[in-house]
Amino acid sequence: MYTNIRWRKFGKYLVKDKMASIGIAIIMVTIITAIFAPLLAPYNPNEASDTATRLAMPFTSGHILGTDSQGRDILSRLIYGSRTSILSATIPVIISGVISIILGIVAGFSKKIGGFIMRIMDVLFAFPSVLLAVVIAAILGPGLFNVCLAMVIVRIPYMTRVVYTDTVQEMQKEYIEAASAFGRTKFEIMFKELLPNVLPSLIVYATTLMGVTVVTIAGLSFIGLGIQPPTADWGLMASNGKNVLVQGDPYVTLFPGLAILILAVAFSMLGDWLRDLLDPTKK
Amino acid sequence: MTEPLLEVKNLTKIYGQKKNLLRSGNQVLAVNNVSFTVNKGETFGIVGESGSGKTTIGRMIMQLVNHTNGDILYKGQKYSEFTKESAERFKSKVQIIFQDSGSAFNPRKTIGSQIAYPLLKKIKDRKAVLDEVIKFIEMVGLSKEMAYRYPHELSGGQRQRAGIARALILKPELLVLDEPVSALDVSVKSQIINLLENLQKKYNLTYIFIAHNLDLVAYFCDRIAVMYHGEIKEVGSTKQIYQFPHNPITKKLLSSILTLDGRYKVSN
Ligand SMILES: Nc1ncnc2c1ncn2[C@@H]1O[C@H](COP(=O)(O)OP(=O)(O)OP(=O)(O)O)[C@@H](O)[C@H]1O
Ligand SMILES: [Mg+2]
Repeated sequence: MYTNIRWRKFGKYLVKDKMASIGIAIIMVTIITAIFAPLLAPYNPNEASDTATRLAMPFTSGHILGTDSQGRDILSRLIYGSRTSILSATIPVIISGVISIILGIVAGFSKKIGGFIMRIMDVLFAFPSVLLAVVIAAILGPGLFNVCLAMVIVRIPYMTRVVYTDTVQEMQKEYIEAASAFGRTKFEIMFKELLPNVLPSLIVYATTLMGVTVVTIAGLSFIGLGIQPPTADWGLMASNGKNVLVQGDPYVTLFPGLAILILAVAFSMLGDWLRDLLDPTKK
Repeated sequence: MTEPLLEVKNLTKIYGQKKNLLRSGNQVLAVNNVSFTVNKGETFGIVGESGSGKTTIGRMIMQLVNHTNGDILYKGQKYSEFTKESAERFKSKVQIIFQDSGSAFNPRKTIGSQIAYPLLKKIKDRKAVLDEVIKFIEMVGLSKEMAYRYPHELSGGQRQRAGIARALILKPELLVLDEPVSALDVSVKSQIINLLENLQKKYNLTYIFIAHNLDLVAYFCDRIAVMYHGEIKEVGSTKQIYQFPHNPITKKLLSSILTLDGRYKVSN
């Protein structure tokens, strides 16, 4: 009676929705790969092996996906690169999600504080998010941590707006008035009544944002503001490959590019599925 | 029916903010200089068309919104002079049943947990609370499985019963019934009215019954106030209102009831 989670619904939905199963499978595989990278990778990702040739074609001389311009094994670099990708996709979105849910609910609940919070958000909104990310990353300097911090700052206004809009809408409903009539405190109304009603759409939005973030961070690494060489990172790998792309060697860019794309799509599939799962009126 | 339980004196409510340099000022005069008393044990009806300010009066009695002007007295004590303890005590003594049962419950929490939380504030023993919740759920005519359901899994009538259980669990003295049956089917309507009557006897409750027409009011209420555009146009016993209406608004409301079945309290 005191819990709201419905696990039976969870299982039922997973079987029904094939796309979602594929999305979740891809994300799970990426996470497992990231954790067990040292066991899975056939070569050291950052060093050319003794026998390596540069820019080896796939399936030649023991390199399934070939080697890059420095003779490093592309498959091994992809496996290690999943680490930064999965971390930089999820952690910043989760952190900005937590901050945004508090800001959004407080703003939607209290008109006075709300006006103040939302004006600050509007200022951040005025800049295109990619541009803002580039500027912040440039100011903070390169590196995984700084890129993640930039992503947190960039996402907060968007996520706060989602929570704020939902909260304002929920505040109109009678159950909020009922809650205060039956003795709920302001804090309880915000975090026990409103939170479960505004969280689902934020989770859906956040999941989709994770996909976008994979691409954005890869893009920042690509232009040199993100993760620094020689770290194995998908965006960085694609960046290195661009030099040899025109020379007729597409694989160096193709494989990391595909990996970024597939992970981004997997997150958006997961988002669609969560939307249905978290709707209480659907069974 | 002697001492007044609730007194309302010159009550006024203006929604919105005053016009100033920054705001255009869209004020609504929802309730205008309203006075009435509600005696212990009676059912006091407030009738008026949509937007006439009935819910607003209910909200002010419940202290869900502040009043702009005037006084409300509960057992002779002014709301504005409530101490912290008396405000706390008052909150459990006056409860409300909401107009729209569909949105009066949080859609993401079970019915049982929502009936339970007013009580959980007073009693920490969860088992005792659960027993009490089941007792009240069964008392309003629901089966105890309903406690584990979500609001959308109940019918409108069942939700309204759950609303009654939630309002009664703290054993109130005064219940504000904001159009408790106007969204329900005719057959369900009379079941709920019967339930409310039985509970009134059992717990010696005082009701403020809000309605938008005189249909059920005649049967259910001892005294009636007729509202129009935020003002009370006429107050009197049900008999007076029905047999000797003074105000044109009352007459209009009366003429809109096509079938008077004569069951109203005037006849007995
Ligand atoms: N929160 C609010 N802010 C501004 N105006 C409001 C607010 N609530 C109600 N009003 C206005 O106050 C007036 C009275 O509303 P109220 O809800 O009390 O009417 P009612 O008699 O309960 O109507 P109904 O039968 O439709 O429920 C209406 O004109 C309404 O638009
Ligand atoms: Mg109303």
